[in-house]
Amino acid sequence: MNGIMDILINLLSFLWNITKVLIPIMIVIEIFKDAKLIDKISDFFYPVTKFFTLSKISGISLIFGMFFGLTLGAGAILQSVKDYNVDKRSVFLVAVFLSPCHAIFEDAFIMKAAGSNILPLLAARFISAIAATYIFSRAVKNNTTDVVNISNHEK
Amino acid sequence: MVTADTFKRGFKNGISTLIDLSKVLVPVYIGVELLAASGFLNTLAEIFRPVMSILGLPGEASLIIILGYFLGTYAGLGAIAAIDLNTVQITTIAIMLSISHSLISETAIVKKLGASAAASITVRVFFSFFMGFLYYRIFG
Repeated sequence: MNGIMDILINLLSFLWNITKVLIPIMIVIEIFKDAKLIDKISDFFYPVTKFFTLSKISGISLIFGMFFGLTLGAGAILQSVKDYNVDKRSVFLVAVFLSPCHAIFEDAFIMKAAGSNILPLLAARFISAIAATYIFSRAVKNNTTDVVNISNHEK
Repeated sequence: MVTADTFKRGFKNGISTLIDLSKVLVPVYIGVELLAASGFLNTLAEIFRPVMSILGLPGEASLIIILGYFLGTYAGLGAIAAIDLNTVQITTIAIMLSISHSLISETAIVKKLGASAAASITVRVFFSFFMGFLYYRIFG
């Protein structure tokens, strides 16, 4: 067992490593939001949403959740469902994609501070998300009449 | 528009995330040290050694996975800091935990979207182990 002093030093240096990456990444995320970069790259993502047979508008929720995390992503999804009547199937597929792959930059940099390699981490999450969404997108048939306003289901 | 306020907000978010993280990470770190000192960690490690060895991890790592799955990444991080691991092992755990973490609270969010909780959990746990195993087999 380590001495109490060792435990404290280890803990503080660990927290300091995380601080060094966390604050810059949070600033970058805010810049992304304020510069409206999401809207600009959503066109670039059109082939991706097409591949997964998703509606185009759900692509924005996808990017949003991927960059900013599940909570914010879910907010964006609920909003887009209200505004554009996104079909239930697309929402389901976005949720499947985001389940293993959200807040990728924040998580990756925090894990890097803990001593992990960053590239295999990002690759593993992407491959998981793409494989899972692909499987479900072919398993769940495209049914355009299945338009459900999910905000009614909240209660 | 990117203004000075953007940077201020980013800095503030960074600090508040750091505080959230510390609130979980510090107690978990100390808790794991105590579990190690009491010998409980050894018992747990002994039980999970066969499963963990498939992933190239020591038995103690099972505690990190359990904490991460249920409590979240921050708790997992606290346990990572408290247990001796090499880079490949940390990366394996990081892959597993970043794919699958905070299963209770995040599955609640997924359900709120109207998507299936079972699908979300199945996908996450399956790919968590699959990708961890794959990484260890290729790079370990």
